[in-house]
Amino acid sequence: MKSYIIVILISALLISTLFFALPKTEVLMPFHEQRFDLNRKNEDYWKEEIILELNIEPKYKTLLEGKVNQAKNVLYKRLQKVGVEEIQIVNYEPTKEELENRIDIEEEAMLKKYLKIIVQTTKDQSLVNRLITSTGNVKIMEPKENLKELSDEDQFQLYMEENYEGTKWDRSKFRNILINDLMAGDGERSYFGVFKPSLGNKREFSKFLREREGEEIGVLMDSFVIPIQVTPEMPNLFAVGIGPDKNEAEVQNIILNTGVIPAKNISIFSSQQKEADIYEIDHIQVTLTILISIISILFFLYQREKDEKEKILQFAFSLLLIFSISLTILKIWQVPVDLFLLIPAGILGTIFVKKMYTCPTESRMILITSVIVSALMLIFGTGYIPILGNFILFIILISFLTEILTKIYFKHIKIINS
Amino acid sequence: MEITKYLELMTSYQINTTIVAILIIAILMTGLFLYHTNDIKPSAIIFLSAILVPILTGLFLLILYEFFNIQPSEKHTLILWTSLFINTINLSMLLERYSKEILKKNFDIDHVTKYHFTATLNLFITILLITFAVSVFVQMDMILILSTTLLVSSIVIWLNHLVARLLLKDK
Repeated sequence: MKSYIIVILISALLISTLFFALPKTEVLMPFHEQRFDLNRKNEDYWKEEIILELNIEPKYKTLLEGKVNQAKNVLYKRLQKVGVEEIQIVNYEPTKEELENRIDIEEEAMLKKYLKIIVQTTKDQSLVNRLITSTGNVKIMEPKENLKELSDEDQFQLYMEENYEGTKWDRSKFRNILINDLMAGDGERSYFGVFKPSLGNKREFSKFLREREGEEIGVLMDSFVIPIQVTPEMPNLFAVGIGPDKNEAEVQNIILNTGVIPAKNISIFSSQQKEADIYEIDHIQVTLTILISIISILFFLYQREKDEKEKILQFAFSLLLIFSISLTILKIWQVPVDLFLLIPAGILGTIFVKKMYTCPTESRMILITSVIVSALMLIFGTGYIPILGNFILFIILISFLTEILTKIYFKHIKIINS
Repeated sequence: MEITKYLELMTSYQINTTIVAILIIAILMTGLFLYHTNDIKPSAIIFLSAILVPILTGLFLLILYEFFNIQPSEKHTLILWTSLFINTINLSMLLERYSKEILKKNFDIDHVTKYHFTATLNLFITILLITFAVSVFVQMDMILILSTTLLVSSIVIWLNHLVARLLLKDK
């Protein structure tokens, strides 16, 4: 009796998940208002070509190429951290016409360098623009003598860089700026950037703050100065308020901790919307062809390894469960997917599961190395690779569950047959 | 062919992280092989095999960009990582079988090479079948990624087998 119940339950799981996983089955659902189709990212993609103008200080004239490369790396890291799918950053030389059309507000002689950034992503456009136009530099500044009079007339003067004088304390003197949620003065939780001075500067920074206890200083972030009054606790913990918004805190974390773009300021020289380059996939046809090819593989295996028939059947059952459970999860939770990535993920998933079943003696090593390569995809991969790594790790995880279910299923089928 | 023209499309950060990841895979597989078999020659080959994947991928992509007028795209990195994954699975099978076989009293290297041949053939047929089946219904850009992946992985896994057979035959 117990065997019958287990076999019925596992069969029910397979049939129901298969029903969800197959394409177009959502039209058969009784509740039509609910979306059950795969949540494709295709419509959310946008592509833009942005020309950035970097105003680099003349003191870097001999190191210009290195500084531009540094800027490219920092920009790439930032965009990658938020998960921008396609990024291309190259040097750019504007034409004479482009330069003539530009309304130049030149305050001081700066070395101008241009970068062409092509992004294709589903992420928020304003977020991308913010990440590429922020230098990421932070400076601790001291107010000029006339700031009090100016701020009495106009409160905004308190936030203007020109009303402050720079100190030697900029981003390079700090190891990192740790973004943490702490209790604010009003009892509410809020995000703060905790400045961690590098080892050699710790004592000197504490001394700097102690000397200014009770006075006002300013912290320049994103071209605005945040005025701060130095309290007795600050020499031990110097924190700048970022606000209660979690998204804003995450953006600041990326900007402040991915390096500094060595430019006085960055502006968008020009930008142009482009048509997103998306691989259109008919997932119904692809699902069917993958199914046909898997059946062909099974047939091939069945012919070659006649004494391993049960293993092959287990592999087929497990593979069907993995794909139906994975697609069901993607459909029910409406996980946004790049359809074309499902093809390499499906191929690698099939190879992995097939090897786990047909080469049981090597399965331990295959599992270890597969997990490591997938983890490396997540950590070191760029563009679509971390998404693929995630998919494969997800398939590996589901394969554990299906292996247990498959073994239980076949064990109880045997009991019923005996 | 101007390699630098294509390298300029990538930032040094992107190139460096990819190199680090490939080196980690190569060193890890070599380390595992050396630890389990204590045999330096095949371990060195494992290292070269892992390094060969990006070289071959780069070479094929260069041919495609130069002679077939294909535009470079971030999507082409899929070729490298998918081939690396397939190669790692193939090497894992060789490693595990070889390390188990050398522990046996009646050690016969033919058991390892014959087994690896079957495993490589199975792997090759699997990727060949799925790639061909899927390629019928996808657009040209995707076919390009799939066929280049098939080509790179097939060359590398068969080279793995051939080199392993040559190196291990006098054991």
